[in-house]
Amino acid sequence: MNFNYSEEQHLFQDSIGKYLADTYSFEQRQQRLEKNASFSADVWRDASELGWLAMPFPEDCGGYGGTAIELMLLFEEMGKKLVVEPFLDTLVLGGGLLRRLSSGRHDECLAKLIEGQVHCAVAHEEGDQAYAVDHVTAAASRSADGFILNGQKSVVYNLGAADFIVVSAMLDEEFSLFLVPAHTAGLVTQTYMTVDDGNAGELTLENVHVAEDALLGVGETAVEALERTIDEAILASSAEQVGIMRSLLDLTVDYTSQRKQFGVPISTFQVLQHRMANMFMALELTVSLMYATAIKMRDDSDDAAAYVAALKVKTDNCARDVAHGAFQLFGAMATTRECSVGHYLKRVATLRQRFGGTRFQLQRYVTSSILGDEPHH
Amino acid sequence: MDLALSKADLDFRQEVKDFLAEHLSPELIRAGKRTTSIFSDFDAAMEWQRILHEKGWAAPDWPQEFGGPGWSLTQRAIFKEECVFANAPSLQLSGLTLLGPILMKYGNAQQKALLQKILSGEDVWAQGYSEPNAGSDLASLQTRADRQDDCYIVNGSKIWTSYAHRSNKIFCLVRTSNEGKPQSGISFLLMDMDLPGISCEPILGLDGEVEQCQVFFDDVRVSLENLVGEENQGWEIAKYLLEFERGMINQYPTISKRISVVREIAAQKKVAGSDNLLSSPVFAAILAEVEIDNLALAQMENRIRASIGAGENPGALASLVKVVGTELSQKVDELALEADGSFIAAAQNHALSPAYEGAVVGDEAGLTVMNYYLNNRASTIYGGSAQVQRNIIAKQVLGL
Repeated sequence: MNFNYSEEQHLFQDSIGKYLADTYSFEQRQQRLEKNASFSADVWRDASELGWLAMPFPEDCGGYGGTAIELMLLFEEMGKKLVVEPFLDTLVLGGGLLRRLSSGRHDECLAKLIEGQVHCAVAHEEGDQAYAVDHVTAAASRSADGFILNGQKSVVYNLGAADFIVVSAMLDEEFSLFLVPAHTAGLVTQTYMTVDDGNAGELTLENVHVAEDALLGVGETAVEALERTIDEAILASSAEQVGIMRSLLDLTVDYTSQRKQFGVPISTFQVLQHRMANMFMALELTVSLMYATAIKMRDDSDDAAAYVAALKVKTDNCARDVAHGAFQLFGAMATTRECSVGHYLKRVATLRQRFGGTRFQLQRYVTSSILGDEPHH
Repeated sequence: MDLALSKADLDFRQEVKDFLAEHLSPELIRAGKRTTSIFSDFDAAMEWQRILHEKGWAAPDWPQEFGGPGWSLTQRAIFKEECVFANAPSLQLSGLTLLGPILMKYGNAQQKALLQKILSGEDVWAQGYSEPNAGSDLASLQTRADRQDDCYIVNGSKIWTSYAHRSNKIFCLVRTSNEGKPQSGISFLLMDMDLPGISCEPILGLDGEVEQCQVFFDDVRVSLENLVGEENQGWEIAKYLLEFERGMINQYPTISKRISVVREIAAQKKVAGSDNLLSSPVFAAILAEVEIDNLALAQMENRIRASIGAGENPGALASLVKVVGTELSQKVDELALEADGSFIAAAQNHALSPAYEGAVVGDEAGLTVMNYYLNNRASTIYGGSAQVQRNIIAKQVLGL
């Protein structure tokens, strides 16, 4: 067994950490958001130059051939600094689907994505409809020269910045994925800021005509590609929350050691120490399960999907507890916009609801192959 | 032992229901429904206070001699329940529930005359207790009031003063002596917010709205007649308020209301394997446990009210109810987040204005969920943190 990063992975981690240390203090983050009211094109360009965007793609399409381990590493560093740029949506979700389903037809789009020139959104969830990865209510029908799409998508992350939207719809009762350029006629968007400083939107498709080659995949192919892509996104968002937990624990230990009440630092009170010890334990358990999950994904293990489901549940619960702990120990300061703690809390709250939410993944684990098995070694 | 309400109480409940049905306008109800903290929209709250004041109901806890309705504890509980269930806006409470009782007990005739302006809403009071370095350790407060001829000269700063930016008055705990224990050198002082030397800086909250402020005092001259009680009696006065607060133990209605919001949202949410989220076995079981916790809280509150009614002092049971109620309400917030799902991410502050009648992203009932969650994290911090309340129980009840 080995839970250590390789030398290359350490170097990659150091370079990410160094870049973010220079450009992504909480104050710098807030100043940029105030100025742009959106994420930063400069940071995105830098990310491309630093190779972050190429990392998860195979070498034959211009990537660096990174695995789940590199993806995890990248997102953990970004989580520490609460990076707002849409890496999860453009890189992991959009890029992941293109990588799996392009089959040569959309290589140009993928190349532009790796170069940092285009953004993606994946329009799959449908508001109050039941969440599933193999069924939606949006519908596709065949036309003379392609397809016509109709439907309604909700809380589509990065919709405001997306050049391309991957849309899920039923085609002849088969689950299908389409790649739709953002300015296609019939797309009606209502975009808004999200509480975690990103952007999202409601998307209505009204007789949207797309060409034949817009069809990325249909049936099992599409379902499997979406499942695997979302699983990568769950690993990435778990890693982001691990980064968030690390920062919150550091901030809390630091703050309680400095803040004095009753003539002593409040960190000397045992009830606060225990709360911070709990935060530490939650973090380390999540890290352990995350490492194992990343290895299982890299190795394409049979039980990788069950581990992903388990990881989302464990991360969501631990990150919530850590965020609540930090908030409580910071006291009233945490309620202000100028304190970073509440911003971490918001991100934890929104990530929890993604990909069907914690309970959907819990249900997925219940029906998974490993439930009831002997402990795995 | 008996749980039933008397005929008179049941008639009273009907009278309150009828009054609310007649006087709560659609806009006031929207203000109530869109409340995302213990504070409703300020203008709506003041409008509602004006309407209640006309009826003599603005201060349910006040005795008749000071313009209150003179209700029993049971009647006050019924009134609060009905107001919450009817989506009435929450009133600005610093004057009505914090300062009022103090002026009744410690105020001189001139100060007692201020009570009428609290009732009418003419005066809106802010509470100046906490300081940047005096939170849980309130007795260490450093804002100074130095006596000079017929005045106090006040210097220092107060923080987390709710709605100071909308208040015309402020009552403060100030240091008038450095001798003896820190508690014994504190006085209780009233001030106009527009006195020279007072400045107010709003603090932007996590949800992007302003509820809290920091207030600065720079050589503020306050005439001696604004001292409540004796000099250096401030700590005793502040503690008396805590006693009084024990008569206002009533978190059950608000928690019930938030649970009903969870139910409303969950009933709209489709999930695989059940009709909707509300009827899915796992969610229903968790919601049921929360409701059971709330039932136990309600009966705890009933017991405390009954014991106060019988002339007993409930002591640290007030701390019990504070901890249990606020932590339970936070659990309800998390269920609300889960029920609303992805929609919680949409920032929709504009749609929380009572005047807003346009479309919203997601369910209307889910509009408050995220901001309520964020703001309500403070409930285990303000008014004596959960840690401080548990210390009180350990010390005062268990004798540890």
